[in-house]
Amino acid sequence: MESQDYWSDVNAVGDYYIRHDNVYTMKFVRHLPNLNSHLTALAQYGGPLAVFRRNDLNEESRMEIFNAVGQLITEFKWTSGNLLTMSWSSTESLVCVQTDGSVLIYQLMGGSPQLRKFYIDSKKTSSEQVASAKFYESQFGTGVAIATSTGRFLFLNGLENFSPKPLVGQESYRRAAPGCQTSRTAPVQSPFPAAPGAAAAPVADLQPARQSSSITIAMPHMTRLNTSWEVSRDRYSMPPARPTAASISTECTVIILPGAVPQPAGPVPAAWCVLAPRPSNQLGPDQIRIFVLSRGGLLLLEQNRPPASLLEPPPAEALTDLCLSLDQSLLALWSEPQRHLTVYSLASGLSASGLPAPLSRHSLAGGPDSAFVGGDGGLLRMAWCANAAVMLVWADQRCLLPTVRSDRFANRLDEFHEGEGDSGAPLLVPEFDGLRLLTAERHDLLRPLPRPVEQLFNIACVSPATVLLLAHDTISGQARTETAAYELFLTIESDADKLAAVRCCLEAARFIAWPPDQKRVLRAARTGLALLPPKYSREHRTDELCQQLRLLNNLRFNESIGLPLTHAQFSRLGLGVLIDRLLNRRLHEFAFRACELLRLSESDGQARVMMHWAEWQIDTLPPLVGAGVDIGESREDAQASDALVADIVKFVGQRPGVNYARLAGKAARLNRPGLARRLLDFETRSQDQVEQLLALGSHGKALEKAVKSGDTDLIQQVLLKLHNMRSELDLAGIMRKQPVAMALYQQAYCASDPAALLDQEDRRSDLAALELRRAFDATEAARRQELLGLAASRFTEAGLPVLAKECQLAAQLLERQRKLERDLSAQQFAGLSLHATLARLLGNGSEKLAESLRREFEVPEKRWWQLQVTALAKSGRFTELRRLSERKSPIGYAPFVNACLDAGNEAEAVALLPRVEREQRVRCLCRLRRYAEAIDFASGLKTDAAYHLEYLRRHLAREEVRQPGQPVVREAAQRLRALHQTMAAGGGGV
Amino acid sequence: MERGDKNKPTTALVDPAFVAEVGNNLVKQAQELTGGDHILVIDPSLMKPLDRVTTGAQLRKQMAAEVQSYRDGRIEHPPESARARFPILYLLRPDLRRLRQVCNAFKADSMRGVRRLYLVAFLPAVPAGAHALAEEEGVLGQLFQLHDLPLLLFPLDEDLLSMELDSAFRCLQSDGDRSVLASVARAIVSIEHATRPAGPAPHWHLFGESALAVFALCEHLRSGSGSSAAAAAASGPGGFSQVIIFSREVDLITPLCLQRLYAGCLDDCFRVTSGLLVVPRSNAAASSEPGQQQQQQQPSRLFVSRLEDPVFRCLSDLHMAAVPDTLRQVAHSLTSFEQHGRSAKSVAEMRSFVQNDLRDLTFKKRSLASHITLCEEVNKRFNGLKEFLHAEECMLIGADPTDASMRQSIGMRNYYADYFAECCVRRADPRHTLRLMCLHSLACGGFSVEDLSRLRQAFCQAFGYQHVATFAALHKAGLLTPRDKVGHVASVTGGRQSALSSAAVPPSSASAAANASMDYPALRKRLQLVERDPASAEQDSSRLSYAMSGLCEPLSGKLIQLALESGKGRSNSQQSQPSLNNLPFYKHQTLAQNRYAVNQSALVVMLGGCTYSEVASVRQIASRCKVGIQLLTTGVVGCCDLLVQLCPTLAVPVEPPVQGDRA
Repeated sequence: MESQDYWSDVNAVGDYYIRHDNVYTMKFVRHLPNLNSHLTALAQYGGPLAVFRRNDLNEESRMEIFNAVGQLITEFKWTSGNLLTMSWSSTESLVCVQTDGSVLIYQLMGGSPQLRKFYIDSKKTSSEQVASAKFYESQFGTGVAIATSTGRFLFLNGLENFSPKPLVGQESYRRAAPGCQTSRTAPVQSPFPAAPGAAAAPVADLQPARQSSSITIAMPHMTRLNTSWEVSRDRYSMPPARPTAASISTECTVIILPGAVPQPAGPVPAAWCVLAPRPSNQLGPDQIRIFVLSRGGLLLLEQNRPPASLLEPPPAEALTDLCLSLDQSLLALWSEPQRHLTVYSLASGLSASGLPAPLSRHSLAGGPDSAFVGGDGGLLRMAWCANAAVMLVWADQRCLLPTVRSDRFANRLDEFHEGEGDSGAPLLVPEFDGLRLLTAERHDLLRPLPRPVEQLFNIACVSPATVLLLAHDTISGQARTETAAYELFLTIESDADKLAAVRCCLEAARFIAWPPDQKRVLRAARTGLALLPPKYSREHRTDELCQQLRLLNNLRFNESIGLPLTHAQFSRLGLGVLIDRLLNRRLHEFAFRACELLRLSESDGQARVMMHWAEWQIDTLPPLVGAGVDIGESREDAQASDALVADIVKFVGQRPGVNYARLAGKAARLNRPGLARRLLDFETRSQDQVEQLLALGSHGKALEKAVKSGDTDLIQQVLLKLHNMRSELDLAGIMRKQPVAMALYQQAYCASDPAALLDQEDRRSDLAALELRRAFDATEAARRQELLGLAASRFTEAGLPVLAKECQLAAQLLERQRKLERDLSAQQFAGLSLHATLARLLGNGSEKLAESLRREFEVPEKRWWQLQVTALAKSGRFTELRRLSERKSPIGYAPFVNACLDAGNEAEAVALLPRVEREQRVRCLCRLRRYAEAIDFASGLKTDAAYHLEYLRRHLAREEVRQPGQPVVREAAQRLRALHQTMAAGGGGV
Repeated sequence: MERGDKNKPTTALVDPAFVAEVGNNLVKQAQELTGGDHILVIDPSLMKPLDRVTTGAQLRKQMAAEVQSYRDGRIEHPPESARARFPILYLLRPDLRRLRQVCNAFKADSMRGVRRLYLVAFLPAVPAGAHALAEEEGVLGQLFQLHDLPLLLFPLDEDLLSMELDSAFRCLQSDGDRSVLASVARAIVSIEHATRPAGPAPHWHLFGESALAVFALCEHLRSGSGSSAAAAAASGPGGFSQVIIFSREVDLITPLCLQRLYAGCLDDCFRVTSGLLVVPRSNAAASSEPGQQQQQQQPSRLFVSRLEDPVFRCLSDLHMAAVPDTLRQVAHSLTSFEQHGRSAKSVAEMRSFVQNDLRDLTFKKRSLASHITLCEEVNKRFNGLKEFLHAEECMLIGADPTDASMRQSIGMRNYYADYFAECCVRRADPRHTLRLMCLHSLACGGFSVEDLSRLRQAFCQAFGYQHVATFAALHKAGLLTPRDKVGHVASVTGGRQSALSSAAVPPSSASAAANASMDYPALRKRLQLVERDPASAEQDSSRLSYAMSGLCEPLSGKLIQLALESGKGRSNSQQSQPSLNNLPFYKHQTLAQNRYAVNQSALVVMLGGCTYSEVASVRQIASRCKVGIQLLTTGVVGCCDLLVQLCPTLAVPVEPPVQGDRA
C-alpha cells in the first residue's frame, strides 16, 4: 500500500526523484521461472508480453502471449523459420524477424500472419542471413531495420501501412481442411508461416518466387523503401581496432563486438541503433540514419553518403554499447572496459563532423570511493528512463545513472524486491514517461516525479499543496481538529497559492496509481476548490478526471485485462486507441462500458465496438468449402447464418456508424455469400448496399435496390457496371423487371444508337416513330423518301398498317411534289403538306392537277370543297368561286361567305348570302354587321327563332364591350331588347 | 388597387435568406470545381433561371474571368488569347445534345493543340448517358470532367419556387425517366431543412403515383442524412404542417385549358420564361397573328412577379375581363399620388417626394404602360382564339356546343370530330387544335377509333405527315386515346393512361361496378365542379371557379382545397362538401401525431408543372382556408407547353423547307 509513505519508494537520481512502483506480481512465475532463457518482447504502454519458447529437441517451438500481469492471452505453435528477434508494433501487432529476412506480423490474438520480406539473398553470397534487427517508431508507423551477416543494412518503414487484405494464397491456406497439420512437413525456411492451429498451404503457394511477386503486388509502394547499404572495405576507412576486446573479421572491416546481440559468426556490427524519420529531424519516409559502433568508434550511416565517423575515442575507451532515447534527443554510449557512460544531446541536430560536447559523463570504475559495487560480467541491457536516467543491467546487478552529471545515482534497485527468487535480470521497456522492468516475478515501473508531485510529497518541502493536503487530512479526521484545519487553511493566503495547490493536487492525482491515494488527493483538490471563487470550480472540473482514473484503475486492477496505463500514457494514446486495444483483446463489453463512461459519440464509440464484435462473430464462423464461387448453402449453414444475422441485428441494431455493408464484405471474403446477402438486407445506405451486392454478383438485386432508392445516379452507376460486365441479352433480362432502370438505360444508350436498342427490345412502334422523325429531320428529298419507306416497313412490322400507310402516303406525296416541281417550273412544292399543295395548285389555276392529287390521296368531299373555297378566295379568284357556288355544296354556303369576308371581298360575300342556309344565315349577317336584317330574319323564323335571337343578343353584347359607342351596334341592341320585351309581354319566351 | 389588395399575398414561408443562399451556393460550388479563374459558358436555357438567383455581373465578378453563352444554339469558342489557358466551366441543363457540342469543342481544341480543363456542370444532376456519351466521344479524362451542381430552386415569386425543369412532364409521362422525382425529393428535403430544423411535416397528401414515389424518396433521403421520420415528432409550429404533392397525371385537363387570368394569359400569349417576359418596348400593339414571332425591336424585360412589380401584383390573379378596369384604377391612383406629390408646399416635402416616391412612381408608371399595352395585345390574341374558348368551355362543363338544329341531325361527338377536321382545313393553330382534341379525349369520352383515324388523316394532310409521330406520342402519354364502342379507354401497349381514367366512385355506391371506368365526367359530378350560378361566380374573385370564368372549378385546385380542408377538420357548413375518400389516386400519409391542431402552412408541390392560373387558385385556397401556402413546381407551363414537350415537332415551323430536285 502506498498511502502515507509515498516518499519512501522514491529514489533521488541526479536532479530527479524517481518513483519505483510495483505494478503487478506476475502470475506466470511457476510457468516461466526465468524470462532470460527465452526470446521475449514486451510492448510499451503496458502492452502484452510475447515469449518464444524454442525447443530444439522436437522442433515444437511455441509462441505464448501474456498480458502485463502474466495471464496467457493466446499461444500457438511456431511452424515458420528460424526466429531471430521480435517486437511489438505501435498497433500491438507482433513483428517477428526471421534469419532468412522474412518479417511476420501477427495480430494480438494470433491468426494468420502478414508477411513482408527483406530480399537479402543476393547474388554475391547465397548464405547471407539476418544477423540482427532493430525496431523503431517513426511518423510513418513501426519500422524494422536489419543488419545482415554480410554487413548490409536494410529497413522497412511503415510495416502495417498496407491493406489488411491477406496476401495471395493465404485464403486457400486457411481454408484447407483442419487436421492436415504441416508443422512438421513444412520446410523450416518457408517464408509462409502456418496459422496457429491451422493448416498446410499447397506447395505452389510456398514458392518463394510466387511469394515475392505477391508482395510486390500487395505493396508496390513499399518496394521503393527497401533500401540497403553495403558496408564494404572500399568505403570504410577505419583505423585498425585494438585486438584486445574486439575480434576483427578478416572479410570485412566491420568490427564485431561481443556482448549485446547473440550474433552468428560473421561481420555484424556490435551494436547499432536507428535514427528514425521524425518531424524533428526532417528525414523523409525512405530515409533513416544508423549509428553503428565499429572498432570502438561511432559511425553514422546514411543513404547515398559515405559513412561518417562521429566519434573516435582513445583505444582504451572503446565503445561497446549505445542507446538512443525514445524521443531521439539523447544518445548514451557505454564503454565497457572503463565503465564510462557518456550522454550526448542530439537535440541541436547532427552533423557529419562529429557529436557535440557530452552532456554528462559517469564512471563506474571500481575504486575505494566508488559507491558502485558488483556488475560482474558484460553489460546485459541498457535503456532510458524518460530522458531522466539510463538503466544499466548486468546479469547480477542493475544501476540507474542520471542523464545530467551528478554524484547521485541509484545502485541495486532490486533492494525493494520482496522474496526475490532466481528470476534473473529484468527486461527493460522504455516508456516516454518512465521505464518498465519485467522479471518472472514482478512488473515494475520507474517514473520520474513531475514537479507538482514532488512539491506535494517531498518531506523536505512545505508548499501550499502540502498544506492543503494536510488540511484535508485534518478535516477527514486523520490528524487534528477542525480548528487546526482552519488554521492550516489560513496559512494559504492568496488565491494564486490556493489555485497552485489545487492544480498541484490534480496533477498528483493523475500521476498516482494507487486508488486510495488518488481519492485522497482529489478530495484535497476539491476542498481547495471550495475555498476559491466559483469560476475556478468551473475551470477545473474534476468529474472527467475521475472518470478517466476510474477507467484506468479498472484496466489495471482487473487482472483479466491487465493493462497498466498511466494517465500520461492514456492521454498520449487517446481514448480511441485505447478502445482499439481493448477490441484487439476482444474485450467488447468492457470497451462498450468505457465508451458509455467517457461519453464517446455513438458512431465513434459504441457503434465501433458493436461492429468489431459482429466482425469477430463472422470471423468465428467456419468458412464454407469452395473458393470464390457461390456454391449454395447447406441447410445447416443457412440456419447458422440466420441465427448469426438475428444475433447481430438484435445487438448491433441500426445505430449511427453501423455499416452492414462492411460486415457483408467481411462475410463475402470468408466465402459466405448467403450470410453477406442476409446482412445487406439491413443496410440503410443504398450506395454501400448496392456496391456490395454488385461485388457479390447479385446484379439483379443490386439494380432492384438501386431503383428502390430512387437515386438515379446510383442506378446509372449500376447500369454502367452491368453494361460492362454482362452480355446485352443478360442485361435486357435483368432490366425488363425494372422499367425505371430500363428507361434510364435507354436514355444512356440512345445517346449513341437508339435504333439498336429499340430493335433489340423489339419496340417496333417506337422504332418506326424514330425513323419517321429522322425522315423529317432530313433536308434532302431523296433521303427523306428513303427513310419514310423504312418507317413504313417498321410500322408494318409493328402491326400498325394504318400508320404504315400514312408513311407511304407521305413518301408518295413527296414523289408527286417532286414531279410537280419538274412539271411546273419556278414553283416549290417539296415539303409542303397536302392541303398546302392543293391550295397552291388551286391558286395557280391547276385545278386538274389538284383534282387528280385529291383523288390519289382520298381527300374527303367536304374537306375538298372547303379547301377549294378557301384557296380560291385567298388567291382572289372570285369568279371561279362563284362558279363553284353554283354547284351543290356539301358544306353549305356559309363557308363561301366567310372565305370572301376573310379575303376582304364583302360585295362577293353579300352576293353569295342568299344561298346560305337558314340556320347559318344569322351568323353570316352578323359577320357582315347587318344586324337589323339579322334581327328581322331571326324573328321571322318559325323554328329555332329563340336560339338565333339569343345568339344575336350575346353577339351584340360582346360587340358593345369590344367597340363601345358604335351606333349600329347600339341601335341593334336596343331593338333586340325591345323585341325581347314585346315577346315576353306577348307570352312567348326567348 | 383595391381589387389587387384583395389578393393579399401570402407571407413568404421560405426564409428569403435561404433563397439568397441558393445563388451564393452556386457561386461557391462552381468556385470549388474550378479552383480559380475560368471562363464560364452558360446554357441559354439557364440564363433566365440563373438571373433569378444571381446576375451575370455577379457571376463575372465572383466566379469567372469571362461569361459567355451559346449563340444560336452553338457554343462560342473562347478567344485564342492568354485566357485560353483558363479552364472552361460549362453550366448545362441535363441535355445530351448540348454535351455533344461541348465534346466537339473539346476535340476541336485538342486538334489545335490547346490543352485546357473542360468542366461540364449539369444543373441539377448529370443526365443518364452523359458519361457513356463522353466515353464514346473519347473525351472523358482528367481534362474533361462531368459534375453536377444541385441547384434546385429558383424563386419566381414570393410564394412560388420553381425548379425550371422544362421537360419534367415529358420525362414522367412519356419517357419513364424518374430522375426528376429524385430532384424534387431533394428540393423538398432542402426546403424542410430551410424552414424547419427539427423534421418533416406531419401530414402528407399524395395525389398520383409520382407523388407516392416522391414521398418514398424523401423518406429515403432523410434516412440517408440521419434525420429520420422520428424527427417528425419534434416538429414545431414554425414549419409546414402539411405537404401536398400533386402529380400532373391526376389532372391533365386544367393545364390544357386556355388561361383566363392575367398572368396566365401573358404566359399563353407571350411565353413567360422564369418569371421574365421580353416585350417590345415600343409598338407592341403592332402585333402579329398568334404563333408568329413578334418584332424584337428594342425589347425590354418585364418581371412577371408580384415581388418585383407592384402593378403586376394588382393584376396577376384577375380575370382578363376585369383587367382594364383595374388598370384604369391604378392609373387614376398613380395620377392622384403624383399630383399630391407635386403639390407639396415645403421644400422638405418636395425633397422627400423626389427622394422616396418619385423613383417608385416612375417605375410604376412605366410598368403600367407596359401592362396596358400587353393587355391590349392579349385581348386581340384572345379574340382569335374565341371559337376554341367556346368549344373548351362546353367540354369542361359537358354542355352541348351545337346549334339546336344541328343537335338533332348529328351527335355531339361527331360535331367535335367535324369541327376539328374543319380546323385542320382552315389551318388554325395546330397546337390549339391538338390541345382541344386532347381535352376532348380526356374530358368528353374522346373519339371513336374511326373518328380518331379520320382526324389523324386530316391533321397530317393539313400540317404534314411528320405528325404521325405526334399522334403516336400523344397516344403514348395518354392524352389522345381512342375509345371502344362501349366508351372504355382502349388499352394500347405502351400507352399510359391518366389517373383520371382509373378514378372511381366510392365502392359503397351501388353502381360501383358500372362506374369502374368513370373519368372526368364522373369526377366532375362527384366533386361538384360545375358552378350552379356562373354569372355571379365570374365576378367573384374569391371563388375557385373564377379562374375558369365562373363555369367550373379547376380539378387540381379543388383537390388541393379538399386536401387542406380534410386536414383542418370540417365545419357543419362543409358537411355537404365532397371528400377525397376512396379516390384511387389519393393517399394520405401521417409521419407523426399532429400535435398542432391548427394548420398553419402547407407546401404544395406540383409535379410535371403547373399553370399561372393554378398558382392563382392555390392563392385563393390559401386565403380562404387561412393557410400559408408555399408552392413548388417543376416549372410553370402554358396551355400548349405540355403538348410541345411531348411532341417537339409542334415547336418547329409546320412545313420545313426541303431541297427538291431543282436544287
